Amino acid sequence: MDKERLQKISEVLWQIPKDTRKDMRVPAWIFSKENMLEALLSDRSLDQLVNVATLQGIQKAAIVMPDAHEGYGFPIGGVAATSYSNGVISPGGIGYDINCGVRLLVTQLDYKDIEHHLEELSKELYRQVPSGLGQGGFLKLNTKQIDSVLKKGALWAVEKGYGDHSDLEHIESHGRLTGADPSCVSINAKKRGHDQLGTIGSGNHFAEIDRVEQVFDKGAAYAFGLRPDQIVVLIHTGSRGLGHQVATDYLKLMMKSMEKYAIKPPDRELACVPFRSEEGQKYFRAMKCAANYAWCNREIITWEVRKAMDNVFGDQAGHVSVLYDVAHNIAKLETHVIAGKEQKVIVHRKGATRAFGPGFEELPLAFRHIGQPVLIPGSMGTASYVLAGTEKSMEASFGSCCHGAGRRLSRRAAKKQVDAPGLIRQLKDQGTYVQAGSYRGVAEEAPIAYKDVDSVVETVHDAGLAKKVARLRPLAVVKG
Amino acid sequence: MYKIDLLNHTADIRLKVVADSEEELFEGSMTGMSSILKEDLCLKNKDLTLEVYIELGSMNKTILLIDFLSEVLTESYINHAIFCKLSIYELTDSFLKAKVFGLPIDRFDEEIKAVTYHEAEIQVNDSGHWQTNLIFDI
Repeated sequence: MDKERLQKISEVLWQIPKDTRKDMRVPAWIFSKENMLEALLSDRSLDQLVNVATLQGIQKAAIVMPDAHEGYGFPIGGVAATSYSNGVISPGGIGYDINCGVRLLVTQLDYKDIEHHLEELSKELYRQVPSGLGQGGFLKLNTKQIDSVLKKGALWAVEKGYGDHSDLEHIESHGRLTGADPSCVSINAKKRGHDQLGTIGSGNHFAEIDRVEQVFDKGAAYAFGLRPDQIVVLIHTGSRGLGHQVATDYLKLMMKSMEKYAIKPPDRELACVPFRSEEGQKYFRAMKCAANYAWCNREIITWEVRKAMDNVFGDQAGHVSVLYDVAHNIAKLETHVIAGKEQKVIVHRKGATRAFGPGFEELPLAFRHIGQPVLIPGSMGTASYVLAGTEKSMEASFGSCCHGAGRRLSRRAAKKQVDAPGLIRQLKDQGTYVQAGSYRGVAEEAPIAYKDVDSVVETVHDAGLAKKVARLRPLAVVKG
Repeated sequence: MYKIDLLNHTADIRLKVVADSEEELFEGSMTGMSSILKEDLCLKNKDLTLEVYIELGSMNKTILLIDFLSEVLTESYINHAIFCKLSIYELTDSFLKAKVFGLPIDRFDEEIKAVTYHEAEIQVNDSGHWQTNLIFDI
């Protein structure tokens, strides 16, 4: 995509007009500062965004966030809302890792309480939270138990004693999407999920001990329960093999079904069917199951983190509570104002985070007046952010925001450029302990492989999609 | 004979597979995928103790290849195994009957979330070889 094709709407918003390609149904919007456009123009992200703008029933615009990068079909960092009445649902708009997401835990500890125990804590965290491949969790579930997880989500973990009831209020959709139907999930998906609860996996997934390095908005931070120097824990993972299999199974089904609905997308990975069709509804019910599995997974990982904190600090650890848990690969049936009218839409967020503003009834009373916490993980060695959703995001991006720093370098390029043992030593010298299953994983996820998370967050802040609340600095990182 | 090249992709893994025949393109694609899951294992190990029978129907040969790879990936995760050898009994434009042979492993090197349909296109190139790109979601 040439830069000449982009129209500058503001310092943080660019548009690819609807008439750029005759099959576009809506324009494409790019939230980015000018100096970050180069990265977006250097791969196929924006061509993929134009393809998304052709989807049947898409509303207002196909949107990408400043952390966007090339995916397969949909760009990563994308948002697409399709009409409930005549629009489609596309598994590619959600991604293979259904409900990949982030959870932030807050502790009662300050940096001074743990600074001399960091190495011990990082090792204990690595012991308690299984990461990497071939690492099953401590739970081995039969089909009946898996079905219960798929229906109940995080509630299942709480009922089994692996979490607190108070956690549930602090999870997007309270950790459970209603309407999940385990009969829509294949035996293979259930087999893959039978031993993976409480595990992180590999790739860019992690569990991380952070220090609240900077508070930007004291009122919002107070309402969220954050203060400078506080120790918090960030968890980034999703629905593991079960979710990957659900997406694979349904993409295959949709490829076969599209002809029936005369749908011919410009890329096979945009395979889709009408939302209200039998296949669309079946996928939506299966997707909800995988989303519930992911929330249960993050709840059990929370239990493991609490155990690690107890083992290192005993009673001194105090209560570790959930600040919030967000999905960034999901489709939700939501109501948004489009052309002045309230309309039901299916909001596909693929590498994008819900960022609802103040007053949203699902939020706990303690911070309902602030807006939904939006959690933005960075790469190890840089920073992560806590933001708050805004009213403006509801108008500008279907209540959505970015989801991370966004990849810049390929894994291959990162492996070529990064000396993993050297990076681990360098990070240790800077006060960040890394416990990883492989040097390969460390090299692939090195900070150099990612865009500057500060610039990404500044962009969404300036665009008004979310406001900065706090910046977190990693102290200990556990990876696969 | 087949040849597998790793190409650049921002976030995922893109392979180019070139083979002398369609059957070898299927085998090369499978071993390419297996080499992502566990580097060099298929080159070193000849003792393939696992066998899985696969029968698949798809809309065309390219989609058949991706569906076949997805099936092998699922079997790899369910059996904690890597598959290195393929015997094809029947291959048409829309149907495959085959057996894959592999061995159990303790740990994968990399997690492939899925084999995507993106960019896959089986073609005969100017030198008469069969080729396709494959993108794996990591």
